[in-house]
Amino acid sequence: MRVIEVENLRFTHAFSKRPVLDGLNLSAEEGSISALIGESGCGKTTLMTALMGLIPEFIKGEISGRIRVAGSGDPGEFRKYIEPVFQNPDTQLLSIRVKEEINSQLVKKGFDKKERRRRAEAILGEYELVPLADRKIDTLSWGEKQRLALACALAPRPPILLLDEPLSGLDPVGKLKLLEKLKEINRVLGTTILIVEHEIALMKRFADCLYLFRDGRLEDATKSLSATDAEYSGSSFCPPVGESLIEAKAIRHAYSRNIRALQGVDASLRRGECVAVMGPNGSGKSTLSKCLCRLIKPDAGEIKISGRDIRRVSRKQIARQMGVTFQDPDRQLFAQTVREECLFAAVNFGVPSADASRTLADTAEALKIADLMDRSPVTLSYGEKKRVALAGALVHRPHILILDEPVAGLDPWNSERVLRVLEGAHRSGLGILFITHDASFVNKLATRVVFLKRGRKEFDASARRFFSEDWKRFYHEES
Amino acid sequence: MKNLDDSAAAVWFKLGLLLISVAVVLYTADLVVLIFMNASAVLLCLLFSDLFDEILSVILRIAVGFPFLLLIYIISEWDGWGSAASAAVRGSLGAALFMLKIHFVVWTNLLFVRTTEPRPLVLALGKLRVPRELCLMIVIILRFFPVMFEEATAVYHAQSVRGFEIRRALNPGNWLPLTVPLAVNVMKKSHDLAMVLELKGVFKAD
Repeated sequence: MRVIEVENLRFTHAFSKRPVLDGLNLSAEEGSISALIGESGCGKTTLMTALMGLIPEFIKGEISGRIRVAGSGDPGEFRKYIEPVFQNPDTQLLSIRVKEEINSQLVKKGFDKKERRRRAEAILGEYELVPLADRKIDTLSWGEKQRLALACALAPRPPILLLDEPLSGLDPVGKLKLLEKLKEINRVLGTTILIVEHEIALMKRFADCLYLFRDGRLEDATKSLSATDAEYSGSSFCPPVGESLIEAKAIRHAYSRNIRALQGVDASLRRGECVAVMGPNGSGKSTLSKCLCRLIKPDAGEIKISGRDIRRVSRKQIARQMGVTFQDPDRQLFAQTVREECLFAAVNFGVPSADASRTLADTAEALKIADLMDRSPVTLSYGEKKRVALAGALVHRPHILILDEPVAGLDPWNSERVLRVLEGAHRSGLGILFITHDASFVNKLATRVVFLKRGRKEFDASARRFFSEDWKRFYHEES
Repeated sequence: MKNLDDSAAAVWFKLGLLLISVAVVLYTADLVVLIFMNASAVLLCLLFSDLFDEILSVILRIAVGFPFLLLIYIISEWDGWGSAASAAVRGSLGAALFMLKIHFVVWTNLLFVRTTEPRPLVLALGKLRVPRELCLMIVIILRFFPVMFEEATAVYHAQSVRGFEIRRALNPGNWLPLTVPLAVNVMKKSHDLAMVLELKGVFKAD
């Protein structure tokens, strides 16, 4: 039986002219796993809201076409059958404590007190949440929150589960664990799973049907998409390693008594090196990068940038030498036009505008954002925003690039473009340090890999050695 | 104080004590009463919780404004005829009274918020016939306060690595790099939140 049928769906937001969904077709069999591949912000969220029956009552706009969920065509009925898991688990976890969240989900279903307690205990056990039961939700890690969100979504035993980029923000082993869990749910409970992702390789192995999002339409790509797994191919070019750019010794940093992010980590970066920092969630990667940019003052340890102690120079002088991007480009885009946005750093550092414009023009060409220059950054898609942020980090010609998840959330085509630009930067002799979970990206770009775990360095050697070993073992709990 | 958390009675007691004492402090103009109230608030904190350092750091941050406050009070007391010395005395007294009031209100409120679990608070409010929607809003504010704080820090970090300096923020014209991303993200978050509430059927018309 077909539980989801979408025929010729068109939707245009009330505030825009361009349709987000343009003649979209989708059907899912009962008990199947379908994956929709598309970059963040390609219209998949709109499709999700449509499937949850929130269009047109909650999200205004013009809709045409036909949606049937579990044989019903009434949008008000949809949410009885579908439970969503949002990309950011913070969105849907509204209670203060873990127990309360699960309880509120069961209250909704109308179980009595005794039944609720029994079920809550079963859920806590099933999703390995028992040690977290009394914790506050805002102290959980991303992975833990996501597990809780999944547990809550499945608590009322919905026939259909809708997942919006559940893998983003998880480390490779966490991803596999989550997918196994979903497979098990699918097998045991017969839940139909619809998953929106951009990781083709994993989805190809996991899903029964694969669809590709293109221009507001879905193309069946179950057979056509090819996926390659990470085998070390080697960075094509290794420039000679030059003078030391970053020299950090025994950095320690603790956010509080219980959360020790870094426990004595050494790090170094030389000109012409491209260092990948990897590690499970919460291993201190982001903290390390923030310490290196002087955004966080480490509790102990010494950091030298280009031979000068970081404590002796101002944050601006440090920033002058660095190009830094963070994971979420929305946290930095503010200007009226993309051009102004990209030149922000150059203006702040007093780079002559002719030089900056020339640099920007070259980067924009390579990143394929040259024709977006006069648009407002807020109207861009996620992939475009991410590339704009990168162009903005390169505009003042820094010696050092520090990138936090440069390709997270990008589709394969966009990450290819980012890769090309970073290769170019690497070739011209910059020192690059980037944080990522994406092993195939590391594979193509990095010359050295640093692996952090629980605030300590587990591995620091050439990328060739990293991939010749069984590197996935680093992620596992025991090692 | 922590072991009393789970009972609604404890919350009512604390809430009542808080409201009455704050009312007394705000209406009194007696220096002795104010000093006594402040001393007992500090004593209460030292006896029942380990929040002394934390609250003190907040108070010290507020105290940075005291010299300006003093200046404003002295200037406003001095009418240009009487002696400057007596104006200074009266102004200092006024500023001290005001500062003590602020100190008490901040101190007791922080103590209350940090020693009260949101859930009993909401249950207690519910028993006082506060509408369910309002209770939910309180929970959501408490839940998302750390999230918003994290968001603001991230925006500031992202701009400062691009050369934005906090001292430039003294001019409101330079606030855009901080306020625009924050506003956009907060609006996006609240939209998503509204969607989730709608899905959970929280604001059902029944």
